[in-house]
Amino acid sequence: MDPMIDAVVPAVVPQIFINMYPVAIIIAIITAVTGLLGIILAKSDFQKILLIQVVTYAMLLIVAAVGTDLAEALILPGLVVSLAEILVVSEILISREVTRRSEKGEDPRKLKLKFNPIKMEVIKTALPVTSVVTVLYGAILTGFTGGAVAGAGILIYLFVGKLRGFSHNFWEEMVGISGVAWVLWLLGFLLYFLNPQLWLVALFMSGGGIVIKVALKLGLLGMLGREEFNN
Amino acid sequence: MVSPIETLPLISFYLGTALLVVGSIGAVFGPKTSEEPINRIINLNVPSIGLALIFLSYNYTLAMLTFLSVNTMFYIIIFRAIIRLEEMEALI
Repeated sequence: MDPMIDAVVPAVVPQIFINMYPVAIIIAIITAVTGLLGIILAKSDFQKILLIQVVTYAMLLIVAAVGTDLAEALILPGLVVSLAEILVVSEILISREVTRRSEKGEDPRKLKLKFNPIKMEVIKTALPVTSVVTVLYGAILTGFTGGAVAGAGILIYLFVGKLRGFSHNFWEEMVGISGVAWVLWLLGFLLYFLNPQLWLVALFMSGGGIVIKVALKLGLLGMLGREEFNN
Repeated sequence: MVSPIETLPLISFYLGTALLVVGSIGAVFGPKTSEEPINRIINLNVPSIGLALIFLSYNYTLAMLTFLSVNTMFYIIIFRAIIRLEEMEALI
């Protein structure tokens, strides 16, 4: 092996990943240039959000090309944070359009679409079961992945069908629990450094905290959708 | 000679890179993507599957699972935004 590569690359990285590294970087650069070219050519802001996704894929490939567990640990929060960014930017676009229409004197909610679910037996029966199974599986997984999976289950429950289950105040309280879970996550990390012998307690604190935090943040999105369609 | 620890990651990796490049070109320059955002979202599926295959070749199980579930939520968010913007007849 080249002594230069030997000095830089850790011994845990397999030879096959070292050989794949230049290809991955070149492909990532090609993809990123394509995506950025599209952003230059795109006319509306909404199309730009979609094209940023291509650039995100290139960024994830560059991180993934490292080939160790560190790359995986960097990819997971990157995915969840990019989802939150897209949510925020799409909300900003919608509220900007509402403001623009209101200033012109139009009613922005004039053309409101009617919520009209398809009448099928399987939609009524299968989806609550699916959401329960997804939430349970997310709770078993824990961490960022578990939070995302459990949040998807909450979203399925909230987006489908008519208004049922929990009141608005309940979700407000859930937001408070999400804050407490965030503190639990931070305390778990602090415990790693203060007393490394308690690593199992710290692991459970941080893993449990982050799953509640991420899942409830995605449930908040469901609350938004319900308020729009059912008032 | 086909061996599961050396050949299969390579197949998955090169298939993934090919899908990533072709799919990103399709998402950017594909037909009617600038008029219909739905077309662009459908084309975006191709590079995302390519990236999932690349994660598979690197043995990133958790990253691949999270990527797939985050992708689903991305479509939910984007379609909600499309519905809200089309209600107001905004330029998409």
